[in-house]
Amino acid sequence: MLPSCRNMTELSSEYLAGKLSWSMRLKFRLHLMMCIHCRRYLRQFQLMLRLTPQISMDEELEEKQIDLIAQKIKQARQ
Amino acid sequence: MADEKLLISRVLAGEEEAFSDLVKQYHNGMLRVASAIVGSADADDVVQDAWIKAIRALENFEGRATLKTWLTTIVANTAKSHAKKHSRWLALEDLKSDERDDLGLERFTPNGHWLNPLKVWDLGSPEAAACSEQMHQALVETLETLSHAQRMVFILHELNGMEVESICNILEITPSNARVLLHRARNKLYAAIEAMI
Ligand SMILES: [Zn+2]
Repeated sequence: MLPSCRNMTELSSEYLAGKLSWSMRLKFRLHLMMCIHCRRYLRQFQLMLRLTPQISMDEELEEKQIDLIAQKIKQARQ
Repeated sequence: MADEKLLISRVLAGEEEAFSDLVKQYHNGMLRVASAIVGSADADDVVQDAWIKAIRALENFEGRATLKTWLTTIVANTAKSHAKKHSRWLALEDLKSDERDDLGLERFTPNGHWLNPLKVWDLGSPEAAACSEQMHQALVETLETLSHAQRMVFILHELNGMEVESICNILEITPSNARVLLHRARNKLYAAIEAMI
């Protein structure tokens, strides 16, 4: 039996990481061939994976802060 | 990689500006990892410890991993020791929960078909989308809603580029558990992006 659409959204990371068994991979692909919705899900899932690393949650460090930390590190080196 | 080598040799030579460059480039990423593991209140101390360890070990850096990955490993291990010392190393309890790995029950019919067609994303390039203030905000907020374990795995892998196998060693979980946590986090992020479209 082929995975359901719901199963497809459970397996997408394993599929992309190449961690599915040979037979499951085949079933996954067959489902993709037949299901436009799951193709769309997978395409957008991959898009998300490219997008997220570019989101940095960080504030810019202030110059002063950088110097302070850099000084501490430098002392540790000596 | 060539830039990394150059930066390292400048630091080893004790060049003043090299230390600032190092901090500028990597400090935030280390802070992010420390916060995810020990919480933001202790993160600064942990990162400072990690920097000192890293700088003392820098001569032994062999370049098998990127400098970013190497620093991430050091800060994650430092954070773990810190959490353990203060008895705050959580067992990753949500692995035992019955949360599912799919995109969300309400999207599917009882036999697992899509209830409604998926929305089509029109983001332009990921690069452009990532720059949008709104998108940024939504993703940061979603990260806060992840379980502690999901957030740690997601940040280590997706934002700091660490391999799942290395994450397992740090978090003391199995590879399959790490992948489950990562996948649940990803589907939540997916839903968050979709909600913005
Ligand atoms: Zn489908």
